[in-house]
Amino acid sequence: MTSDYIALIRSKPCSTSNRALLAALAGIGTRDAPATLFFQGDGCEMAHALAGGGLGPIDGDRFETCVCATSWARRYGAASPPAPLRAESLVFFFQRLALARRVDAFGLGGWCCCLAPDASAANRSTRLLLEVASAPADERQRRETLEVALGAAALELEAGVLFRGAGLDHLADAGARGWRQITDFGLLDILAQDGGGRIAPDFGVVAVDACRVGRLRAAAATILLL
Amino acid sequence: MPTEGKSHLVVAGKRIELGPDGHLLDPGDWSAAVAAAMAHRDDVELDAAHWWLIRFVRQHSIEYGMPPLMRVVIQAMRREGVLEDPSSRILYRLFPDGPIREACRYGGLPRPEACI
Repeated sequence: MTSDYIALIRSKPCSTSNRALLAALAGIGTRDAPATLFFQGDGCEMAHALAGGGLGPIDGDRFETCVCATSWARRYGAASPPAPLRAESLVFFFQRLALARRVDAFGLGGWCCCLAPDASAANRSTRLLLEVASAPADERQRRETLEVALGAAALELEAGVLFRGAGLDHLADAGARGWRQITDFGLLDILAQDGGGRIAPDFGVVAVDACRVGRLRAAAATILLL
Repeated sequence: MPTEGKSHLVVAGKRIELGPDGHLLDPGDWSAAVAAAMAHRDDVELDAAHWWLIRFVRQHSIEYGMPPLMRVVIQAMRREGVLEDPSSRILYRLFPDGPIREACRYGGLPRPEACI
């Protein structure tokens, strides 16, 4: 049986993020329907740290613990992660996400939780909103944030990426070239709140204000804070 | 005619080193002749569609820093009328071992990091 809970964990291990993760997971997952934890980007470092400590309260009966194969390989080499961790793809993550009733995202810029609307509800939205609110610390972090968006684009999900605050740094300077493929080929909507003059005018980014951001969030079935 | 070994090719008198996965160790060694020599070694005949894909993947990688999604390739093929009714199935007929990965290899690019 597949769980209706999934968490995307992209935050580095630290006492604050570890506490937030463990608090969110309390009471989630059962032996019959283990919850899915997907560690991507710097989140793989948290998976590594947790695995090193025997995963503590994240026991294998209640949780399937998956790491993004590429993010893991960048940090720890091509060998398989130690059990009970399992290497999976972003495609796997988005397929599980589509089935989930509750989605938690532990991003670099904070944490958010979404409860999916009832599947039988009329006009149920399937729209996914990816929010980027923190600046990339390095090129790897920038790329791994982009890869989440490309995963959604590869599956042709109805999705948008909202950059705000320090997250706008992803779209500034030469490092933004990877994001340009998304607008050049119309793969996803790219939106920027209060981008001002920081984003090149030929980028194809849609400027949005706080009211529009509120409407985007309200219309989204799932928000992932990256 | 190029000469070849498991870990290298010789093209126009120059030794071209290959990594264990068959990709060029030095992307600067790439030329159309090198791609043709790799294909010859693999017993693959490159036609116009193969060359279009190799060149598109190279250009995309230069411009965006990574190879394109399959979706992007199909979109560009449709726009440029490269094949009638392009699809991922058609692309896999061109390169059964993975169209983007093989286009990267013949295009002198590193093996793509494939989490998507």
